[in-house]
This record gives sequence, C-alpha cells and structure tokens, in this order.
Amino acid sequence: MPAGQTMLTGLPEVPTYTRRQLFQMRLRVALRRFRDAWRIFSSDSLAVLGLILIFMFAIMAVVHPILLNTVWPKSIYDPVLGFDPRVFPNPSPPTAGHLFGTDALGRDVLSMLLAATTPTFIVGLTAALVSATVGTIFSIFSAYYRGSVDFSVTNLADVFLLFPAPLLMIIIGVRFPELGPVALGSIYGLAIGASSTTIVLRAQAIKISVMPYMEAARIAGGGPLQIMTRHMLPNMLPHAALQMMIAVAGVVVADGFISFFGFSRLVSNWGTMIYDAFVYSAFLKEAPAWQALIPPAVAFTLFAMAFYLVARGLQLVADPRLRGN
Amino acid sequence: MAQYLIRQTLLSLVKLFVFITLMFFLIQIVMPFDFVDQFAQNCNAACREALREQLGLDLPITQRYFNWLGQIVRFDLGRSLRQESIADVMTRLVPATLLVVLPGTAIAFVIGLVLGKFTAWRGRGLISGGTTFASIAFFTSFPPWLAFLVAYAFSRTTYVQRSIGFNFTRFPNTDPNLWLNTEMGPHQIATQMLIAMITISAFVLIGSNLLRRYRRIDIPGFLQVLLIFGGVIGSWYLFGISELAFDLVDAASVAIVTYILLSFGETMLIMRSSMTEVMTEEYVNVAKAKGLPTNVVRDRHAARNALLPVLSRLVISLPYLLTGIVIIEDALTWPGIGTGMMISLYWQDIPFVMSVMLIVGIISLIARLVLDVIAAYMDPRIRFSEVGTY
Repeated sequence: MPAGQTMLTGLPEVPTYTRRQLFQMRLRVALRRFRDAWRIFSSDSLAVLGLILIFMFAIMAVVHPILLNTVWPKSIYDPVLGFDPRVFPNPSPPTAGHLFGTDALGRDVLSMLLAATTPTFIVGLTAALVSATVGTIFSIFSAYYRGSVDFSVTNLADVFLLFPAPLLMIIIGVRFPELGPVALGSIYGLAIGASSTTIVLRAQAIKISVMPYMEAARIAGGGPLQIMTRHMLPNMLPHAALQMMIAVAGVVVADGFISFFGFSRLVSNWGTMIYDAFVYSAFLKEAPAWQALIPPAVAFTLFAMAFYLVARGLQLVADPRLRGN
Repeated sequence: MAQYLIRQTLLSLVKLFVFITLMFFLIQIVMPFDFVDQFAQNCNAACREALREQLGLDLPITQRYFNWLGQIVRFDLGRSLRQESIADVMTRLVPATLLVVLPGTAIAFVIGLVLGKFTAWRGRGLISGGTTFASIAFFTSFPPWLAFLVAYAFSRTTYVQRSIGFNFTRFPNTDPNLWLNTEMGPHQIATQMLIAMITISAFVLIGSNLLRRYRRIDIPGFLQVLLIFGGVIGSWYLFGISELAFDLVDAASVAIVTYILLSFGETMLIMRSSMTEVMTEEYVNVAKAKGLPTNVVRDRHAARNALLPVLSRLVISLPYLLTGIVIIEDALTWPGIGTGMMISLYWQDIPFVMSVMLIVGIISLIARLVLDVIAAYMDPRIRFSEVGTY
C-alpha cells in the first residue's frame, strides 16, 4: 500500500493545514499565477509600452504640485493665471524657461499640460470603474438567471447603446458647468460606458455559465449568491478589467470635448488647451500656435492609447486563443 | 429567417419607443429650457403667455409627450419652435450626414479588414506592431484635432478653401458658381448619390455572393470594390449630375477622410484578434497541409470565418461611430444632423432635438438590423439560438 493512504477506504488521507499554511499556499499560487500572467503580458511589447505610458502620465500627475511648490514660482507657472513678464511676444516658442513655450495668454504650456493630468486620470478611472462594476453585476445576473432577466438586461442595454454621447456632453456642459471629475466620470460610466460593457461582458458570462465547474458548484448545493460571487465573479474579473481599460478612451475624449465646446468648467484640461489654441488662432488670424496645440493633442492620444494597449495585453492574458500558435 | 427578421423588427420598434420616451423626459427634465423667456425679448407677460399657449409650452409634460407621440405615430414630425417644418429640414440634413457616414464606414471597414487580416497573418513583428500602433493612435485621437489636421493638410495641398460659412441650406466649401444655375439643391444631389451608391453596392455584393454560391465563380474582393466605385461614378454621369456630384465629394472629402481615419482602427483591431483566434483552428492547419496556396488559406479559410465576430462587434461600436460623426460635423461645420442637433440645442428647440434623436435611433436600429441579417445569413447558429447575436 502506498504511503499516505488509510487502511480502510484506500482513499488518500486528507492532510490538515493550519490557517497560516493555507494562506501561504494561496499566496504562492497567486504569485505564480501573477508571474505567468506577467510573462504573457510582457511578451507583447505594445502592452508594455502602454504600461510605461501610464506610468509616465502618473509621474506627470505627481510631479506638477511638487514643481509648483518648489522650483516654479506660482505667479509665472500657475496653469490658469500664470504670466511671465520676461517673455514677449506671446505665444512664444520653446525656451529654456518654458520647455513647451507659452500660449497666447502667456501661460506656460508644460505647466498646463501637467496640471490637466490628475483630473483626466480621475475622470477616466471613475468612468471605467463605474461602467465595469455595473456591467459585471448585470452580466452575471443575466447569465445566471437567463430567461426574462437576460431578455430585459440585453434589451435595456441596447436602448442605452442608442444614447448619443454628444447630447450628454452638451447637457453637462450647459446645465452642470461646474461638475467635478468624479461626478462626470460616474455619469458617463452609467449612461454610456455601462451599456456596451454589459453587452460584451454578458457574452463572456454566458460562456462561463455553461462551464462544467458551474454545474459542479450547483450539484454541490451552492446557492445563487455563492455561485455568482465565488464562481462567476473571479472568472469575470479579467474581462471586466479589459472593459475598464477600453472605457477610459471614450470618457477622456468626452471630457475633452465638453471643454472643447467652450463651456467653462472649473477643471482646466487638455480639451480647454486645444480650444484656446484654436480660438486665439482664429482671433489673431494666424496659424495656430503649434507649441500650445500639439502637446495637449498628443497627450490625449497617448493617454487613451496607453489604456487601450494595456487592454490588449490583458486580453492576451484572459483569452489564450489570442496568443496564436 | 422570415420569423427571425420579424421578431427583430418588432423588438427594434419597442426599443425605439423606450429610447424616445427616455430621451423626451430626460431632456425636458434635466435641461432648464424655456424658449419663450429666452428669445421673446420685446414681449410683456401676457404676450409671453400667449406665445407659450401657441407653441404648446404651457401644457404639463405628460400632455406634451402624448401630443408629440401622437404626431410621430401619424408620421408627422411637426414644426420646430422656430416654425420650420422639421421634415423639410431633415430631408436637407440627413443626406449630408449619410453622404459622410455610408462611404466612410464602408471604406473604413474594408481598410480595417485588410489591415487586420495581414497583420494577424504576419504575426508579431515590426510591421504588424507599427500598423497596430498607428491604428490605435488614429482610433484614440481627439476627433476635432484630427479633423483640423486633415483640413490643414488638404488646404495646403489639393484644394483651396472656398467659402467657409454655415447655414442649414448651403453646403460649406462648395463652388457657388456651379450651383447658381441648377434647380436641385445639394441635398437632392446627395440623395440621388446615396440611392445610387446603396443600390449599386447591394447589387454587386449580392450578385457576387450568388455567383459564388450557384455558379462557383469567385469575383475577387478588389474587383468588387472597383466595380462599385466604377458603377457609382458612372451613375453620376448617367444622371447628368457628375459636376455637382464631384463638387459635393470635394466638399465632403475632409469629413470623410477624418471619419475613415477615426473609425478604421477599431475594425482592424477586432479583425486582427478574431483572425488570430481562427488561425489556431485545426482546419487552417489542414488547409496548409493540403498544400493550398497561402493566399487561399488566408483569404478563404481563415478570413471568412474571422469576419463574423467583427460584424457582431461592429454593432457595439455603432454609438462610438455616431459620436465620432457628430463631433466631426461640429468641428468642420458640415451641415448634417449632428450640427443640426448642436445648433437646435443652443436654440433650445426641443421638438427638433427629439426629431434628431428619433432619426438617429431609426438609423442605428436599421444598421443593427442589417448587421443582424448579414450575421444570421452567414451563421445559421444565430438564426436558431436563444442566446442572441453577440
């Protein structure tokens, strides 16, 4: 008889572990899973580039208040009211003091660019979190219960899919001009992000709900709540994370576009910078000040793109079939 | 198939109704619109009351809703608060939008499919990575900035910007001398062009499909594209509107190019991942092992099966495309429904905004229906499944 089996049943002896040991084992499994995931993720160089870009923007967000409190005098480098009397005429090309030059009102472009990073992060992440949370909950419910629940969730999502984003942006711009980034992100996430997220995640949830382990969980006597939270939710999380990343791109453009309409919002962002550059170029009857126009436009693209690239890397982790042969 | 179609159509109608109701109450409750207070300046209180009564603004909101719904059910869009017939304005605005959206979407779709196919087939590498990077860069760029760049490039090289001005009747950048002696307005020309475009492409696509099915004659993709292009341009000469049509295309080109650049990336990304998935299937290996030429394996065995997920994902990206077109129209002052919506929102003209919502809803539901039908035609599983299209 092999070691480790009891005499009576022939079944392997179930070892007992302390809570601490169990925790260590789980930690080890989680670490190994993370290492595997990272190996797959980092095999896609574009995804790593996306991650680097996100880190870059995070550094930009952190560095601005520090610079403003130490090196940069506030009267010159303030993103809204700053003015440098030594520079003439404005807009001026890049110099050593102003790395990206100044805009038509004599404000430092680099400082404005950095100042807009934090609100953009907040808006994007709030919208992403809200839409992914709502989408995950609804998709799990509709995949678990099917039938009429599924029918109503799908069709309601379809109705919300028709919701035109520009209308929402104008309503926010006209009616709530002083809306903060968190509120804007939540509204966008609920009204526009959640519908497409729900539709995509529902397809994944349905794939999960016909897996053998779901049947096993049902046979083992798991209630609806337990099955949904312990068995479906963990498998949904990679897909939800993926959808989160994709939602960021939409809301960042929407946020910029509200400002681009020229609605005054308390938070200055990249859209405001582009709007200002266009308006002053029309006003001065000149070609736009490129040094004030290109940085925010490129920042927009890179910011939304970073999240999209990371999303593609996560997709690679979540869906083995995408890795190819 | 017919049963499936009828079910989807009825469902779409119900969705449209729910959407319209939601939008009506949302706009009326959230926006503090009062057309009369805003625009009736030389008017005392009594005159304002009279005006409100005349425009029907004094009624409670439910009453207004049912009045409006009654109008819509009778296929009457009614009059806007500015006392224009909405149906008249719409016949001018909708062709302008479709003139950008339809060819733009078709071209972007084809570009996306081809790029996605080739990048997936090549696998990882500098060229594939670069193409993917560029596609994502266009796809995530800020639309007004992209529109500005395209307009700047065009104005520098090929065309001189003529009259930049906007109103509901005149198209921007059209050559005024050309339009002086014609009886038809730009919207009528645009409508004719659209009808020709839709008929010819439907004819070519369905015809080549039938030929492949029943006669085993395969018309290659680029030949189909050439046929459609040639047919459309030929039809302009046939109708005798070629000069005006070319002028319109010239005026629309900036918007169309911007729209293509903005929207081809998504198709490309979906096609690429879908194609990568299909390439792991056994039948692709079998086809290669049989000794079939590479392009046959790629185009016939892999790409055709990869197409289906792209179609069903396109349904979800429709609102993104619509948002894009509204932003582009606004940035370039192209007189389509997007600009119409923006301007009537500034005018606080609720009936007009609601009509735009209705038309946008109808257009996107029709687009979804067409996509559903194509998907159901390509994949019989969808026709009989309970789970749905995606």
